[in-house]
Amino acid sequence: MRIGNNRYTVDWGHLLVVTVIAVISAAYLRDTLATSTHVNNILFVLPAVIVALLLCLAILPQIVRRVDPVKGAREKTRLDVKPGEQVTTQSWTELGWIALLIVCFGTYVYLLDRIGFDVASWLFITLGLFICGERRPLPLMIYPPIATTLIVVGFNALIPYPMYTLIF
Amino acid sequence: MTNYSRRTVLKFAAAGAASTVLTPTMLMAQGNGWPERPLNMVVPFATGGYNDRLARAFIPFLQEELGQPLSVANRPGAGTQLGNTYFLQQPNDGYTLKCNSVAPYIPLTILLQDAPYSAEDFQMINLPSRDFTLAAAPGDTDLESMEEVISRLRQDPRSLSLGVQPASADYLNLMLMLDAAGIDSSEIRLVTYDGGGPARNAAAGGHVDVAFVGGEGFLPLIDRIKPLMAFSDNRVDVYPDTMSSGELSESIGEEVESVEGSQRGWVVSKAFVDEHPDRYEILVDAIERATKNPECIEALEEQQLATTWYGPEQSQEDYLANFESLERHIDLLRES
Amino acid sequence: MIDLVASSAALQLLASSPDAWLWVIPGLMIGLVFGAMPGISITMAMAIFLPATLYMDFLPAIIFLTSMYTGAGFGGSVPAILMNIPGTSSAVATTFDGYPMARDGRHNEAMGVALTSSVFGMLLSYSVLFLVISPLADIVLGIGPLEMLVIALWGILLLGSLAGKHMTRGILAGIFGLILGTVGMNTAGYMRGTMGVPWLLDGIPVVPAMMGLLAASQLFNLVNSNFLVEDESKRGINAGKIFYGFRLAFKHPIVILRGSFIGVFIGAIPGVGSSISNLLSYAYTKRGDDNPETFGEGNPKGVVAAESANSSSEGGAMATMLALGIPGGGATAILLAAFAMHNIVGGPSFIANNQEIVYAILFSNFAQGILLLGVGLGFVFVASSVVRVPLRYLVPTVLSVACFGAYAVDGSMAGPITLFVFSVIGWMMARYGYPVAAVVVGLLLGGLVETQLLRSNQVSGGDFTYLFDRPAAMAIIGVIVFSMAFTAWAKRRRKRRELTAASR
Repeated sequence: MRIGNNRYTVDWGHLLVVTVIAVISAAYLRDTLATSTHVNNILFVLPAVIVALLLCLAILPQIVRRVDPVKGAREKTRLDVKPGEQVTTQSWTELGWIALLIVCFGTYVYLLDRIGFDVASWLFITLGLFICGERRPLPLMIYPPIATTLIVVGFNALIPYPMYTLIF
Repeated sequence: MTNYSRRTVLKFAAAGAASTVLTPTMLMAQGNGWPERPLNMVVPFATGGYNDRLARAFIPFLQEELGQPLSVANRPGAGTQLGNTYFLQQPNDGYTLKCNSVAPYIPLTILLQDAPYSAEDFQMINLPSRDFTLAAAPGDTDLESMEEVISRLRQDPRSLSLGVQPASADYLNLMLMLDAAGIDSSEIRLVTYDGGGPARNAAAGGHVDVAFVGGEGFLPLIDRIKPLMAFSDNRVDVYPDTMSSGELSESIGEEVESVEGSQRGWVVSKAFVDEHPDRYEILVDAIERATKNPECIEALEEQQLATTWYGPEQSQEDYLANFESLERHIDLLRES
Repeated sequence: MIDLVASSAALQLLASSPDAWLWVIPGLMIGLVFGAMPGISITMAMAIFLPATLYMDFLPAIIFLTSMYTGAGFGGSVPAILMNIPGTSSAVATTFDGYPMARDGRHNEAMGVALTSSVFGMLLSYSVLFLVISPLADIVLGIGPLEMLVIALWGILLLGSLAGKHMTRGILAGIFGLILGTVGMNTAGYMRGTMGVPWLLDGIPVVPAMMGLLAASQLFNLVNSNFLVEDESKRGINAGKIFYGFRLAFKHPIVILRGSFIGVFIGAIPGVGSSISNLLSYAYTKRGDDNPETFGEGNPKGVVAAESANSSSEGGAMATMLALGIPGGGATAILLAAFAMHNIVGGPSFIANNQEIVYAILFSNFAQGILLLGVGLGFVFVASSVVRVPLRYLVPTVLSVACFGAYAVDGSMAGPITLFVFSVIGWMMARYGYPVAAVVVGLLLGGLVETQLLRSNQVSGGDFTYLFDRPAAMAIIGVIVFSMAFTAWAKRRRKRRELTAASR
């Protein structure tokens, strides 16, 4: 996008984050108002959501960034981010691996009580190991079962809840 | 205070090891017939609460009777709805029991949260622990009696702040009392608490003028509160000097209805009883014998836990009666 | 206020059965392990070991259980520093500077600082309690909804100091957290935002959400990194550096003292306790510091502030339990049950009638604190080896452990699901400069703020002049205003002095 002498880009990922926050807040307010409009129900939620929505609006201009004509090209990629720091410099390959790990993690959580905590953990740790860069077959075969056994046996001993497992 | 009987560590270690390691195997060896393997006790609350403590204290005596070890499975959440649902999902083979505050939680989850089960899905074996709603004022209150509370509220419904847990048996008792006394419940100054503990602290700390909460929990705070009335037809044993709602009925000339604040104890599923009446008999016998075991009575009383034996028929009847009165007044509960 | 007769009776009681002390070390170790496992609470440990204490005499039983309680207080800081996982809500502020220190290769120091501050906070809190335990019951009961509201708002002011570079994003993150913190059934019985999911009635499970926001979201970014500490030469486990951390903690006496005092008094309030005290102490330290921008980057003062406050809160919670017979949480409920097994019933009369037992408990906790220094050192030594594990092994393993921990919170899939959802939200937010720590603080405080606001409104009948009937609330507001004004004034004066010094 070009306005005058400056080029602008829209940070779509950031727009997504703000939209998600706004939509969740608004939907929550709607559900709250549908429950009851009694003061005991909306005393805090109503003003809080209104402030949140106003802040979302205030942030919108920050999503459109001016491209610095001198710097132009992207900075060096960096994956590792300190808390509170903004990252815009992850490359697409790196993002791909991260996305893959997130998907695996989600599937892992989904499968936990369907195929058993032990089997799901063994699969996840094996896949996670591969995604994180381990390519030697021997560690991929040896480490996950050991780690899984330790975790499952350890937690089973410590927690007062039943846990669905296939093997243990 | 210093004349403790001294026991050596070795003795303890032996006792501890015997209780945790040896007993189950020994028990299994002597078992004949059902049950053939360890049992589970579902507690739909987190560790540390009354039901959890009751289950853990009672289990040693019950497993002695059953000849099989029992383990506690805590399943807290959503006012026992998660634990109840989990419990009903288990196979109907009698290997899963439940220790629960059946009243008011089973009725309330059904009536207010649309829980996916009905009151008849559960069969009570024994409900040893019963509690009642107590109306209590701070220790330094200028309120003399429950009659005075009523007369002040009749003059000005906003003159006193009333602390209560919404959607509870206590709330229902309060509403029924206001109804009987002809006080407009939409006018009163209600302060809501999300648990019995905070409501009791509010009474003891003088933040509300009167709190309506389960009476037994008030006992440790007895020095700091002034009990005004127990919601019960007759006076209750733990507060012999406190008037009952039955007496209030007489003095205001209107019937003050009340429901039992809580009923806690041992539960199985109805489906199991229908499928395995023989196993059900074994369980009832075992729980009855354990409940009447003098050692058990002593151990539980030390921990201020109840051990009265009412039996399945009486317990089921009381539980269903409680359900019916909550159901009958569901509109009063929904308003909260 | 100190009863000398009772004190000496307490010492006699403790000396009467020396074998009772054999239980301290196992108790501390059990506490450390349970505390360090994310999601597993000390309540569970105590519930599991409670039946075993039935076979013990009173004193060994109580010493064993309180040792577990003491050990768990520090155990929670270990994963907070090494993995950015606050196993309990009281370790949230420890992650703010502890984890950056660890990433910097200063894990030895961070652990040393945390351990010393914890032990110091604990010792100080028990000393304070020794002096004020009798009047404490009245103070605690006197705290009403308005006072609680003011304290909670004080915590919210902290959100501003977590904002980082972009103020608007920081505030939005905090308010978003507050909103999410009110999901479920509120204190007046209204159910909202549950989307028909039964477990959301109790609100969003805080511990799994915290683990997702702070830890899992960070772990995703470590996919292609090699080690937690990039500099190989710093990866060692060095006793010397841990001891350096010991000394480092005492270089900031004001921070450690302030943290301990905040912890004792906030911790004594039933139901809030240590989850707020560590945040307040951290916020205060950061705001008052000459270089607030170094916080969050690995400033040891942040760790000192957080750890001294959360461990001294335990003393406060213990006092409430003894003085009122009201458990502030699950762990103290179990201690009360253990008392009851030995025919001792907590409550206001308990302190008056059993002073020697109260003092014996305080003294033994004192001794446990000192022993924790040694046991904790050994534990830290073992735990620190985590920095030597290559990240490609660590990342999937820790994600899996976090998942088990989230399940362990209440034994339902609610935990892992929450963990996953919030790890994605946290990763996205962190990517665009939203401070996830602010979301966590909001989530912790949301329910509390709404509850207390509602109750203040109900109690007062909507009348604002109610504030003038509550001297305690006005006093707290006064303290807040005064301390904020004082820091601002001191800072300006310092700056002006620097300016004049520079211009000369």
